[in-house]
Order: sequence, then structure tokens, then C-alpha cells
Amino acid sequence: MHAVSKEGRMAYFMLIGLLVSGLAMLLPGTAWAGGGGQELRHSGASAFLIVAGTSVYDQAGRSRRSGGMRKTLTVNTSFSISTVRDVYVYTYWENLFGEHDLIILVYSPDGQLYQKRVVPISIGQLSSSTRQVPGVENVVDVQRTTPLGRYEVSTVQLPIAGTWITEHRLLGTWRVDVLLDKASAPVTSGTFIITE
Amino acid sequence: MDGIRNRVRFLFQGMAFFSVTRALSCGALFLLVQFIGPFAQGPEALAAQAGDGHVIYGNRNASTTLYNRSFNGTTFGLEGALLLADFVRWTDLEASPTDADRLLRGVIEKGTKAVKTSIFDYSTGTWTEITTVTSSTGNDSRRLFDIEFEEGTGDALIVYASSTAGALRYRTLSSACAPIATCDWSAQQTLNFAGGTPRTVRAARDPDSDDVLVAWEDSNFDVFSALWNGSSFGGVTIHETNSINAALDTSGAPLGPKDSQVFDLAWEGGGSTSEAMVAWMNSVGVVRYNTWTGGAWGLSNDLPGLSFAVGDKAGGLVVASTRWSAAHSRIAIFAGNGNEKRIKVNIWSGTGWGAAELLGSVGSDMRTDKEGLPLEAVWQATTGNLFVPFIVRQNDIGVRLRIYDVSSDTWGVDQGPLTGTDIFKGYVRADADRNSQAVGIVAGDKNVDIGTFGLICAHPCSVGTAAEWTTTEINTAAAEDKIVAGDIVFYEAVSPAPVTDLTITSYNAENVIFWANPATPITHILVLAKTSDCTFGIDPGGAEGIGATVGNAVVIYNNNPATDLSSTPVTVGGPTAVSYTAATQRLVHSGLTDGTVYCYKVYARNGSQLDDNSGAGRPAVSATGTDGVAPSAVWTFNLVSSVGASLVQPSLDPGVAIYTSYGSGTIASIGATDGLLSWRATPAAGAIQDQSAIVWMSGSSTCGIGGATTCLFAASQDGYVYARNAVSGAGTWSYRHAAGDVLQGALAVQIKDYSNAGYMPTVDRLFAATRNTTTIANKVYALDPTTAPPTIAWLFTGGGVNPAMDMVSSPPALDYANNRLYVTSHSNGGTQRSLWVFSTVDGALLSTGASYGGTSLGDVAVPPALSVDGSVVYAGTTTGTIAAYNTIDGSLRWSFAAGSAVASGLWVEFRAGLAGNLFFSTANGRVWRIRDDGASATDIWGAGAPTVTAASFPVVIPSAGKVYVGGCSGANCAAGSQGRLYQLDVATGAKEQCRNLGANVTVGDPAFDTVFERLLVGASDGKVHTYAAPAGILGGDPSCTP
Repeated sequence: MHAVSKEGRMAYFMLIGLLVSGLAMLLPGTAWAGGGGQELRHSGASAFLIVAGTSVYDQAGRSRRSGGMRKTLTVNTSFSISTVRDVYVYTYWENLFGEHDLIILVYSPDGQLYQKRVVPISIGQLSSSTRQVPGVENVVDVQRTTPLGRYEVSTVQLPIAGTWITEHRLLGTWRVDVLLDKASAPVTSGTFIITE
Repeated sequence: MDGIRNRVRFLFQGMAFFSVTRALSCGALFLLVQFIGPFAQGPEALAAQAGDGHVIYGNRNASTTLYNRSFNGTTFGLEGALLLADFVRWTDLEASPTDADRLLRGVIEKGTKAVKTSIFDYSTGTWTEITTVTSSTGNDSRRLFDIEFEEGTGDALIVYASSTAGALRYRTLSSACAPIATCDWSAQQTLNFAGGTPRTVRAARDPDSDDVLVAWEDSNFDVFSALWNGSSFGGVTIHETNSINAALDTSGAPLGPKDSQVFDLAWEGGGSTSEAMVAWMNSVGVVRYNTWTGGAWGLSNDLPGLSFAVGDKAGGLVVASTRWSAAHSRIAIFAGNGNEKRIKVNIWSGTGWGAAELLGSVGSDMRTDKEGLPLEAVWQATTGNLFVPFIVRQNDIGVRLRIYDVSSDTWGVDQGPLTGTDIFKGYVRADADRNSQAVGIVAGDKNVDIGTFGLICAHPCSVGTAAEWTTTEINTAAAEDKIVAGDIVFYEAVSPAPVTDLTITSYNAENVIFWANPATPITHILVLAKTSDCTFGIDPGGAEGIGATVGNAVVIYNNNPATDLSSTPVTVGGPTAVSYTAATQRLVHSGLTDGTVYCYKVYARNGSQLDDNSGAGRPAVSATGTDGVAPSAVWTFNLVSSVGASLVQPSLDPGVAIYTSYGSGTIASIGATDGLLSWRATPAAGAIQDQSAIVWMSGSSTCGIGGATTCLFAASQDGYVYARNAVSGAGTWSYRHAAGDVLQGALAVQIKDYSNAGYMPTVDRLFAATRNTTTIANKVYALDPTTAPPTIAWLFTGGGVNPAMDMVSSPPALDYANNRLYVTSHSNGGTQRSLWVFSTVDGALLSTGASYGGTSLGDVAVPPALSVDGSVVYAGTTTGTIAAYNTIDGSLRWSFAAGSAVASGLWVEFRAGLAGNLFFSTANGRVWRIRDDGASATDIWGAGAPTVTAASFPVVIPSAGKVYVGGCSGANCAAGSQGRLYQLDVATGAKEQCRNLGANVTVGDPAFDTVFERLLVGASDGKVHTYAAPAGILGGDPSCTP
């Protein structure tokens, strides 16, 4: 297990001077990432992802109150089902511009597709706050990516506590595939583990 | 391919990442491989997509070659060439509206003046020369032929001159010929008319029929037209005697353009009226028009604003290129004035003509005096806006662009140049993709240092800058300046979209496959089947017959479902057979072996082109007839796997319909009788993990969706509440209180008709609670759902003057007797209240102080449960406590330690013999039955209580004395385990039987249809299973040991 306390990450925060929605954007190299793929329609674009989780509450007493929120963001491959509240999938994009649709496919430990999310992102100027995405009737919030060095970072929240995951004890290794627009192959993939 | 560079990036814990230039493999490292560089643009990809097209062009210096390239949204492919005997002069390029593979082109060859034609087959990427339709048109500088496809049949018509007075020649080409390379024109036929030799010829097809209107000017400068009805020409109409070309100025020089057309025609698009227009410029410079109303021509009218001063030289005339805007009923007519050096345009706005607009800057020298209008006008399919690329002949540079905004009926300003800094003197042609927002232009320049440009825009294309337009010099040799020696088209019949709503319902020895055809044109649906697993080998070519082998699969259907009215079963190998029922749009695959897994892939097909989802992303659906174990499932419903898991407890309209939801935000309505899909929708961008509420609205009220009185209400992780007509699936509204909200638990609904007098609202009410990231400011709110959008009745927000509220991940519970709403939440680490009570009428918080556990109860992730009389409310915590509170005052009634987190909801049984018993599951897999004895609770099953891995919410059937719970084999539900449904004895808790529901699946929460007495349960593979009869429902699966 490779947990990074919030205090421990502050150096990074100070280094990059960035806080997003109360959650830290994470520097690559502090965590795990894996997988990869080719995206034909987007010349030169590349991506990798990092998984982080927030605990239900700070059992170790390391968290701080920030804007009324009290969470510990743990960057790791492994999260305890009894404490993790949400898992965040940060996708770091390089050489990707404009508006795109991310398709996030989350596979549960039994290998089945647990969830499919289509997340519209905008790199650069945000042309509209919502828009239609393929296959979804309602308009969807457009996520403006966050610049981090030469990367643009998109974030997808995967609720854990109080969901099918805790009810049905979906323990084991989870896989996340990130696809871009109409591509059929993932741009990047990663795994994380939910333990007892 | 312009050189692909590989770059490999390593990332591993605790170290920075770096890049190297070759691929490595290291077991301890995680590799991310990314190809960086221009994407490999195959000019002939597997199938044409929206935004793909083709361009042809000649040039002046390299002379006798007709070139071609394909393009997609961003890139032109490689250049192809056809060597002619002489220079390329007039060209025409057309795309079939029905066959995604087929293009036709024609070219007048200088010298011979012959019209040479070719046909293109997309599937082979090959142009094939076909008949030279005439050996001489008599002129090579004017448009003396035109090709057009019929909209419905896809048959083609070519009309042309042949140096013969009073004769317009034509030929046809059938769309049914195959393969494409063998297609050719019919023998020459003649439409006779009283006049001279055709001087210019134009044809345009009706977008709503197989009619093609042909107009021409003859050597006497008279303007004619005739209507092709798909089989033959009707009578010839003369619209004008003596066009502007017949007029001379005071010096005796012609006032008309030397070679350009002075008439044009267009059809009204997108309707059924089949109205067309022919417009022309008469001998005194007045632009006139006739309208065809489907049966006859109307009287000629003058077009205001475009007429010239008598004696002014005229440029050419263009009528909005080819068609009216379907969406907005607009038509544009452009006329050039050689004296003013300007182009004028007027647009019919649906109710009348507007004010004339001038194109080009004052003082510029618009090329209108001889060769006609250097412009094209096309309507963008997605916006209805008119795009007008044009060339200013002198003192200006590049190809310019004007856009007419149809939504505001206003012209934009001149934009550009789109083509760099050189002065353009050549031609410009354009097309708008009917399947996307893309617009394409080809423009040729006479200058020796610059040649032919292709310009494509796959974006909104709202500005004339390189930011949106891809501009490529596709040939460096100069183009002829007065000849339209190039043309551009988008593929009209692009590859079809994939089928949707793909489902399989399995019965004994039979699977029923259902799909919804895509909106894009198709000629066939092709279905592959195989057994054992869903790893298909290769995609079919498309033409395979039923029973043909494709890789490791067999074609079981390849027909046009719109015309396939036969329901006769066709044997497809071995004992299996298929039959298609057009009325229900269902394909039955029968004669199956129960227990065998059958997998299917369904392709939409248009000609030889399969849908654009033919790669790895294509869904393959597996199904078994049944599992072969008696008594078998009544049916198993299988929605295409890409919608995600369905672990939700199905919502029931007993005996009528079953509603389930998925991780993708999809909701499906299934017929309770036959398990066939009734409707499916994906309203949400987030998962819908809890039950949809099915509500028969009180009184005569509706849920704001048409007249719907039976409504479905669902809550999604995207934060929205969704409403839908539960019966038809039609219509929807959505409501989200604030961006960032997450809804995890289902909605509670208080029905006015079932409420007492204390319920003051006049309509039913929805209640929702948020599972937001905040630990203090979650919300509970009430909606009046009778309007779209609904109105908020009251709102409670944690924090501030209110007690802090952590996330709510389960549905509220309603107490009708007291008009109360109970809500459970997390407790922010045991520091906040987690059992809440509100008035349903006004949202007043009724749980205060130490009542209902105060701040000491701890996290609760499952919904509160009420006794049948509403006197007791139960809550199960994540630390394994069941707490019972008296609702009269919120005092603790009793507390029971289960020892492990309460993972499922609590079922409070009320039926005879079991009233007062609570059933639930805990995280350690134990399934519980405890009894509320008033002052305490008693563990009924005790040491005999069963343990089930990942035990679900238990469903109790008192009449049968059974309890059913989902779970799986092994230590957890990871890959390799079996999804299982267990039958427990309600008296002892003993596991009596189990049934395997498939390897590598997790089983959801069961439900019981009391009308059909069927057990229903979903699973992580998206399937919903149903078993009949409460007793012995599982039958004793020999492969499953309880």
C-alpha cells in the first residue's frame, strides 16, 4: 500500500500551486498508472490515469477541514471498502485539444461492465456548460479540464460507499478503461483494488 | 502515412516518468504505449463515415489527367489519376443517396468534347471507366451534361447534348447492378423538343421522390425544362424565349455571360410537397422564376432586388446550388452584374423574398462579366445555414466565404481568404454533408504558382479562418479559369449506424433476438451466431447468405427487415432454425440446446457497408436457451452488455411489466409475461442504482408528460430526477437541484389518493436526498411532479442553521399515517445525526436532540424501514447495529448487534405468521431473521443462520415458507466465481437449494411478482432471470451445491 497523506502531498500542492474542487490534482510518479492504447482520430494525443480515493472519515486523524469538507485523499491502488467513500479517476491528457467525449468503462472484479459513463470535456475555452453526448438523452455537464504542467487533467468520480459495491461486496480488482470519442479501443486503462 | 513515431512511457510507484524511443517490457513496470504522429489516413477506410467524401479535379499544365482523392473530416487521401486524351474541362461528381459505395463522375474532354464517365466502388476503392455517353457535346466550355441520382431508387440519370438540334440525350444506370464495376449506362435515348441545340444543361433531384427536374438553355437562348418521373420524361415546358444571352449592348456585344448558365433550378427539400423552381435572367436583365407545385408550373414571377439596369452586362445565375433548406424552407438565388462587378442574392424566407444582399467588396472586380458566377451555395445540414464560398477575380485574394444565418435571417460578413494569399481566378465548387455539419470546397486557381485546393470543415465552420477549415493544396498545377474542372461530394449513403436496443430473451430451446434499426438507411440486417463463447473471429463481408460460415460463426440472418414479411423458419445448420416476424421485429432462433451458450453479433448493413461499429466495440450478446436444468427459467432477458450491471431490485407492475436499470443510466421495461423488451431509454449520464418508482398518479393528474398517468420516476448518480411515461416509455423530464448533486437512493413517492387528511398538498409528491461529496450539506427535497419541469415544494439543506447532514445513499421511507419522511445518512465519522425525520407536508425537521439516536447512531448506508403500523422505525448501521425507535417520540425501543455492517436493506415482514420479523444481510455474508419482541429483538435463526458470499437483500415468500437471496460462490464475486440464487427455509434459515446463474457474475436483489408468482433477479452481466412457482423454484440445480 502506498498512501500519501494530505500533509505529505502539500509539497506537491505548493509546487504546482493547484487545488481543484477541494481535491488535489496529483503529480504523476506518485502513484500507479498503467495500460495504454492508440487513438486514431486524435493525432498525437496520449493519456494515462491515476486513481485516488477519499475516506469516509479520517480514521488516522490526518485530515484537515477545508471549506467544511473533511476528507483524506489517498492515492493508491488499494482501498478498504469499510473506509473509502469515493474513488476518483484522474486522466492526464497530453496533446489533446478542444472538446471531446470521454467514455469511462468500469469493470467490477467479476469482469463484468459495472458502469459506463460518458463525460464531455473541454480543453481550453469552455464553449458551453452542458451538451449532448452520444447515447444519453439528457444534457451532460461539460467538464473543463485542469491544466497541470503539460497535461490537462479530467476527473471522474466513482461512488463507493452506499452503492452496489458495498451492498454486494464487490471486492477485488477493478479495471477502468478510458476511451475517447468514437474510438473502440481504450486510450488508457488502469486497475485498483477494493479490499475488506 | 507520414511517419509514425513510437513513444513509450513508464510509470511506477515513487518515481518520475520518462520517455524512451523504443518499446520495452519489464515485469515490474507498467507500460503506457502511445503512437504519436499524424494518423494513418486510409483514403478508403472500411466504411464511409459521416463527413467523408471525394473530390475530382483536373489541371491546366499537367493537362490530360483527371485526378481524384478521398477525404475524411481532416485529411485528404492519396491522389488517383485517370489519363484522358486531352485536357479536363467540365466535370460533375455525384454520390448515390442509397448505396454507400457508389459515386459517378463525368468529364468533358477538350478536343473531342466527349463526355467520359466513370463509376466508383468504395468497397474496392476503384474508379472504373464506363460508357462515353457522347462523342461530342459540341462545346467543351459549358456545362453540357449533368448526372443526377434518383433519391429513392438510387438509379442514375445522365442528360447531355450531342450537337443535335431539338434533342436532349439521356441514359440511365440501374442501382441494382452488381458488382459496381460491371454497372454501365443504358442505351442512349432522346427527349425531343422544338428548339436549337442544348447550350447548357442542369438536373436536380427531388429529395422526396424519384423525380428529377432537368432544365436547359438552347442555342436560341430559350430556357426549357422537363420532369423525369423515375421512368420517363413528361412534356417539355418552355420558360423563356430569349434569355439575357440573346441581348446585345449598344455596341452589339452580348450582354450575357459567354459560357455560364443564366438559369438554374432547385427542389424544395424535406417535405412531401415536391415543389421545384426554375429561375432565369431574361433579355432585359430581370430575374424571373417559375414554381412547380407537383402537377403544373405556375405563372412566371419577377424576383425583386436582382434585376439590372437595362444594358448592364449580366453574370450567371445560381439558385442555391441544389436544394432548399429542408429545415427552414429557404431558397437563395444569386445573380451577377457585370457592370456593377457584384453578385446579388435574395432569399425566400418562407413567406416572401427579402432584401437583396451584395457579395464582394465595393470596388472589387467580381468575375461576372463572361464566365459567370464563381460561387457555390450549399445549406449546412445541421444548422440550415447557407455557406457561400466565392472568388473575387481581381484585387483580392483567396476563396472568400459568406454565411447566411438562417435562424436570424441575416448575412454574415465576407470572411477569408481561406486559401492563403494568392489571387484566385478559377472556379469554386462546394458540397454540404447531409449526415453531419461538414462542408467541403474545391477551388482552382489559374496562377502558375498555385493550383487546386481542397477545403474541408468538420466543425461548426462558422468562421472563415484556418482555425476551422482544413485547407490543402491537392494539386500544384494551375487550373483553367473559366472551366469548372473539379467537383466535390460527401458520401450521402454513409455506412449505417449500429442497431440499438439489442436484446435477447431466452426460453426453453429458443432465443428471441430484438433490435431497433438505426435511423440511417439500411439495406440489410446481418446476424452472426456461434456457440460456447462470444469471441468472434472476423467481420462478415456483408453478402454472405444464411448458413454461410464467417470465421467461427454462422450467418443466421441477412435480410431487409423492412421488407422481410416471411415468418417461415429457415434452417441454419444442425437442428436450429430462424424466423423473422416483421410485426414484432423479432428474430426467433429455435431448436437450441438448453445449457449451451449461444452468442450473437448484429450488424446493420447498407449495400456492402456494415455499420461503423464493426470493430472491437461491437456488442456481442450471449444467451442460453436456458441452463438445461428443470424447472428452467421462464425467460432470461439480456440487454446488450455495454449498458452495465443491473444489480437493482426490479420494480414491478405485477403481471404486467418489469422495470430494471443499469450502470449506464439506462432503464428497460420488460413484458412480465414474455420477457420481451417493451421500451428502453438512457435518460441519464450516471448510473441508476436503485429502484425506479412506478406511480399511478392520483386523481386526474399526470406527471407532466403528455397525458401520462402511469409514470416512472428514477434517480441517477448524475444528480437528476427523471420522469417517464411508464407504459410507453415516451417523453421525459429531468430535474436537478444543483450542479454537483449525486442521487444514489431511489425516490420516495407519497400518493395523494392514499394519504390522509393531514397530507395537505393537492398532488402526489416525490422525495429525494443527495449523496454529495460534502459531509455536512447534503439535501432532502420534495418535488411536485405534475408539471415539466417539476416544482420544488420544500428543501432541507444540512449545515448553517440546520444540523449538518452527511451523504444519503439510500431511499427515504414514508409514513403515510403520520405524513412523515424518514431518511438515513452517514454520520461524518459518528459526529452527526444519521436518522432524520421530516414532515412530508412542509419539510419541517422532526428529529431533534437525542431522538432517533441523535448523533450517536453512526453511519447508515441502507434505507430506514417502518413497521406496518408506522409505530417503529428501524435503521441498520455500518457497524452492525439494528436500532429500533418508537416513532411517537423517537426513543430507542431496542438495539440489536449483528456484528457486521448491515449491507442490505431491512425487510420488515407484515404477513401472517411472520409479522414483526426483520430479514436482512450483513457484510460478512450472514443472512438474518430477527423478531421485534417490543423491548428487544430475538435472533430466530441463531447458529443455523446461513452465510452467503455477497448476500443480497432477501426476499420472503411467506406462503411458500421460503427466503431467496442472491450471492455467489467462492470467497468473493471476483472472476471465477459462480453467481448464485439461494433458497432458504424461512423457519430455520437453512440453505435448501441454489442455482448457478452464470460464471463471473454477481447476483442482485431479487423481487417477487405476486401475480405470476415468479421470482425475478438481475445480475452484473445485465441479465434479468425469472423463475416460476414459489415452491421448489430453483429445482435443485445439480451443478450447484448450497
